[in-house]
Amino acid sequence: MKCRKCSREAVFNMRRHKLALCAEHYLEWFPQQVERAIGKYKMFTRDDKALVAVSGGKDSLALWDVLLNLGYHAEGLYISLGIDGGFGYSHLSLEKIEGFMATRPEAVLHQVDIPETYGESLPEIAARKLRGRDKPCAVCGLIKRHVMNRVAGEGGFDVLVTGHNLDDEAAVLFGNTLHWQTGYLARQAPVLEARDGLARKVKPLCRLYEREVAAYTLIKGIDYIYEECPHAVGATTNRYKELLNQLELNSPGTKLQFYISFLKAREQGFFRQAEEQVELHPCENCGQPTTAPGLCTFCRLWL
Amino acid sequence: MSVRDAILKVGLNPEAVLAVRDGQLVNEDTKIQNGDTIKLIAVVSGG
Repeated sequence: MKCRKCSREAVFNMRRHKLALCAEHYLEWFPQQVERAIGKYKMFTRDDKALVAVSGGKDSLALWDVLLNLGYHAEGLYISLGIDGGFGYSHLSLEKIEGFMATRPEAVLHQVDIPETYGESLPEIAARKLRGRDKPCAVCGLIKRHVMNRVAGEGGFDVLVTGHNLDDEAAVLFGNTLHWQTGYLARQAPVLEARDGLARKVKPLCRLYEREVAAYTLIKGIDYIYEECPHAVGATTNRYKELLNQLELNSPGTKLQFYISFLKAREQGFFRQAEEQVELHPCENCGQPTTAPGLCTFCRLWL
Repeated sequence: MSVRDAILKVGLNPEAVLAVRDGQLVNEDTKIQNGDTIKLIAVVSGG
């Protein structure tokens, strides 16, 4: 199989685009797709100060790499949750980020260590709180959203950037559709505008398949944490991804079509009623927005 | 046998893996030769 753009052997074939590329042309194609999504959804410009949530995984490191190469002002944020899982998961994640930064001297990283700052690791909080029992992922999401928002606000960042890829988005969409979570469907988008103290959030990889992101890191030689978070093993999202990949195998482009058609329907106002926003109040302790009066759910974690 | 056929033969989905030979990514149509070692990398992650 030859590269579409030159006569060299292709290293990667994207059936959904009927496009096979050699390593050199793939490394050209991938950042162009990221740039196109940033422009199409008006995510941010080179004048904006962007905070990229980095986990040490393939998506966030690939995204950070591309944004730096494209000349965006992109600083990283790593939140250490103190997850061990028998192999030092959090420690290993940070090592991968440090490895990446060793090759990018211009990269700036902000770090928030949850056990050091709040006295407990994620598994410890999850075990203590009813809301985290048997589902630390819910507490993890809550902590990450709070910290990302706080750091974005304190650091004067214009936008918070996450590495969600198309498979992530399609799997979430699948779950929300399966359960007709109209409120969640109304809020799922490549860009979430800032409101009432909540930072603007964007997902520049939302049109790229997970496999395409992995191919970029592999060709580029970016070393990422390959191991799954010990708490995410067997997660529902991964089962949805498996199902969607089975559909994709027989009909290339299914995942993209599912997501893009949803975005079009959303633009046409299908979920407008559900989008009516609840009123937010500042938390009495941290000042971050919360739906209920008093303390926000993050601050209530530490009671 | 092609890389794609081999992936399917071992019961995996070619949409969920990347194939690497001698440290280099190879496309799914690549013919596997005697003595080749193909490493498959799972690409699905997250929870």
